[in-house]
Amino acid sequence: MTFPKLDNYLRAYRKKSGLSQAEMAYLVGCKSRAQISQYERRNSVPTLPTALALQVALDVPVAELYAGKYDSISKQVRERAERLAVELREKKPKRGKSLIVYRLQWLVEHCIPHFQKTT
Amino acid sequence: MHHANKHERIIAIDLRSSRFGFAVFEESKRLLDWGIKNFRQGVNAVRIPANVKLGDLMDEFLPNAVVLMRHEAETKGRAGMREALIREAKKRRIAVHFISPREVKSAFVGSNRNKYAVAAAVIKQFPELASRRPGERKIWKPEDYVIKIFDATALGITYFARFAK
Repeated sequence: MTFPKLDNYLRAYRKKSGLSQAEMAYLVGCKSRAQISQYERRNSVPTLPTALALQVALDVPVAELYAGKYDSISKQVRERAERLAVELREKKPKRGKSLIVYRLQWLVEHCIPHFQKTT
Repeated sequence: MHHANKHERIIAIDLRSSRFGFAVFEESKRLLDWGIKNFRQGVNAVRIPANVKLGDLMDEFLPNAVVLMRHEAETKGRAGMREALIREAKKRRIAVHFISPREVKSAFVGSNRNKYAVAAAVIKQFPELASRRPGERKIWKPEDYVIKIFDATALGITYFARFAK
């Protein structure tokens, strides 16, 4: 049995660091510790500068801090990439065939590695 | 029967009559959160009831299982708390497991002389808990407040050790 990842692991990493919410708020430039609590409890999502500040303060990549969110977003992107790849395959342009092949290859290599096997 | 495996998130809870210590594990080596929640009665009574606090904890961490200590004799308060916890877990379809104090002792061979020795062994495994290390208890003093965190963590460690064999 496996378990879905939590939306975020901010509290886990903060507690591991030993920092209090107030100290973390100061480090990332938030107004108060309540804001950090809101992030930890999934009641609000930090802005990009705050998310990057959290990465620096905790020395953990944002993708790991927001592991659950990252998983769900990457799944959505992969699904879209698959649809885009199918569209590209079905295209029969008179010119620019090599560009389509290049795009397809890029998608398969970076976004949907399993695509070639399944289709 | 439910089998623990290393890919599991659990909440280990040390229940008392008016408070509980908890430790949240993700797999056996990762401690996500820990702490103590209070619901004392009387003049300074805590307004949020125990079942709500327990439910919040489960909703926040979405565990596969909740682990509790099996006591031979229960006080009325603790039995009530346990019932509330089991109800909340059932609502969320979370398995509840019981571990006996003897099992906890056997999981800490060599450092099971008393709770403080177990706490020291727990800190070795999870250094992030070092700042909460309980002070040595004098026989005329009450138990250290933070010992509940270590009791809960020891319970979690035992749970994973039980199935690792």
